[in-house]
Amino acid sequence: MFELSTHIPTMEILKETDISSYHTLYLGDPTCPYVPGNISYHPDLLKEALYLAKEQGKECYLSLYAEPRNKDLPWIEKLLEAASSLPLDGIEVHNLGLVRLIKRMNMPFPIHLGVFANLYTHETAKLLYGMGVNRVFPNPELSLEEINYIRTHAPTQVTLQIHGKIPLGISEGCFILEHRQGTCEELCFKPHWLTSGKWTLKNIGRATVSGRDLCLIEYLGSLYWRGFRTFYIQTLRESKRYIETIGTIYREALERIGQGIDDYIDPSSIGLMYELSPYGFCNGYLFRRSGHRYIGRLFGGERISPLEVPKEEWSYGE
Amino acid sequence: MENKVSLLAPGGSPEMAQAAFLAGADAVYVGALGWSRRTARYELPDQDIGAINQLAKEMGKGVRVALNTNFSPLEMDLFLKKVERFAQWGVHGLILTDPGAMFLVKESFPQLEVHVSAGANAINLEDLRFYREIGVDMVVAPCNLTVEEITEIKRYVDVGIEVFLHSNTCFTYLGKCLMSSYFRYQWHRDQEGKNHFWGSPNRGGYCHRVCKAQWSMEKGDPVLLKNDMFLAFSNIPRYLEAGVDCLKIQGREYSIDLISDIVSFYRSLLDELTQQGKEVDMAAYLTQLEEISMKRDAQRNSRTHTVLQEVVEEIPLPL
Repeated sequence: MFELSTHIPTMEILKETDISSYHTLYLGDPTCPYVPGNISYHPDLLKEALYLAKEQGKECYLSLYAEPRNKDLPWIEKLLEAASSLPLDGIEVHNLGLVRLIKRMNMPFPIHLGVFANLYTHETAKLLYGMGVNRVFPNPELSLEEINYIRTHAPTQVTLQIHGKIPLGISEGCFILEHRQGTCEELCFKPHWLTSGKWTLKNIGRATVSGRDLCLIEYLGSLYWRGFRTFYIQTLRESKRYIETIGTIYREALERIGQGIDDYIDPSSIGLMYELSPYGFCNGYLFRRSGHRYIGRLFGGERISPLEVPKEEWSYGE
Repeated sequence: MENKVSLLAPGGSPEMAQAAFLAGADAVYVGALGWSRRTARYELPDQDIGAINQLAKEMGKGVRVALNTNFSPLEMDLFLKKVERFAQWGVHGLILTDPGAMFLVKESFPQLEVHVSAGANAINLEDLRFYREIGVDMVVAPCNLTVEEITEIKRYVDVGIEVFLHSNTCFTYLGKCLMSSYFRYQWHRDQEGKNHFWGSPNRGGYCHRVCKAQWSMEKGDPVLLKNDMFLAFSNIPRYLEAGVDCLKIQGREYSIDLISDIVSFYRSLLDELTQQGKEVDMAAYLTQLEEISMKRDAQRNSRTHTVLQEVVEEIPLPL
């Protein structure tokens, strides 16, 4: 029918959060290995998390560090060796070198290409399919027309982010540690907002994400009936309530869509989303507009002329 | 010290390419209009690229054409037609970012050298092996890589390495930043079917440099989003020892005089280094470089002011 996924970076979040809405979990935080309790940095935590998630019937993928340098390769190889005997469903990789490493190690797992891998074309998806990649997460800058083109012109499945902050960049060092006094334990899970005039971004250490939450709830039905089935909610460094509430809203909406119900949006969910997104909403780049804009009828969104948008993309909103 | 390292310079215009050749560059890189990581102003129509290629042949120099945007998947046929034309003209090589495109080029035009753009962000040994295995000839190392990492790569991977001499490090890894286009992004498709992505450094080459705006954290004290000048000067002897194959001067957007000065400076230094090894008086060169750097930074800062104003004040963009 459909699949809803998110990242679960730590054991604490896995144990204390109701993850029943999600079918698939990416275990670990790919943005920084040193996130306290990062499941994808500690083989013991990975094993414990995997069994706990499997008990709840989840499909589980190990999410590897997105930007490994030479010095990171040895510990990643050891982690992969430990992972090879675990009942994982696959591995999420954001770095092409690690795709090669997994292939070289003859690991039996399918690979999902993560968002930081910068996939922009179907030809790259085809090339990577030959190396064991069976699902790709296209770069957020792509439009719906382009994402759909990749989906229909490559043998890989395509993941689409439908809610949450957009990953806008990943850096070498931790911005928070550079600008705040304290330890990772004290600082990492607090929200760190960057503002400049009317602009807002959120910094999560080595990565920077959008200030606004991408929200596709009003386009979900169109996406579903056009063949999109693998959906992702970005929840890194969000609260447990955020992970649970947003997951529930989208799970219920998708189930209603699958039953053929047109009015699939529960009106009460809009207020809940507002509560959880202090800086508002956007659609990212899906309609070929600046990533921070919201095009649509909800959230006081902009209604743009159909003439401004290619026909195929506009029709997603009808 | 025996070394066959080549000096690569920008060719933002036919005049700049010629000046760079005369100043001692072994090759220039040029951006094909709509396809490189710079705006149209610093890119060239095909006929100009053909003319530069002809000049390069006459002078015994090389030309690399940058087609290194993350172009649309719908443009793959358009891309291959473009490549075919350059291959017929006998250009030396292409600078690309998309791995699928690299693979296709190597399959169809094996005579063309393929260089992995810095925007592809190849940052570890396995990345380099990945690119080598799909057939690429040279990888442009991102500025973040240390001399030790580059030395290790040269020791273990049989692929050419190109390093920047004079550039800037971004707040994020190069090629991994969407902050500019998040705040301002304009798209249009031209009559040939080529898409243009204004505001996206990865897709259209135009960065509003929003990292240089005045940011604060938790609405408190100002914080700087690092975007520093990168100067490889002191590492050049170690790059040569490591066996780096190409040293690259960045800056299609700078003035012809400045590029000519920068190329002359590095030509002289490289010639002396390869003849005399470590006996070269680097301190004397550093004094010269400081003057060049000041001119270069003044031009860059002026441009930063302009591109940032465009997004802050929402100035209409020249589509």
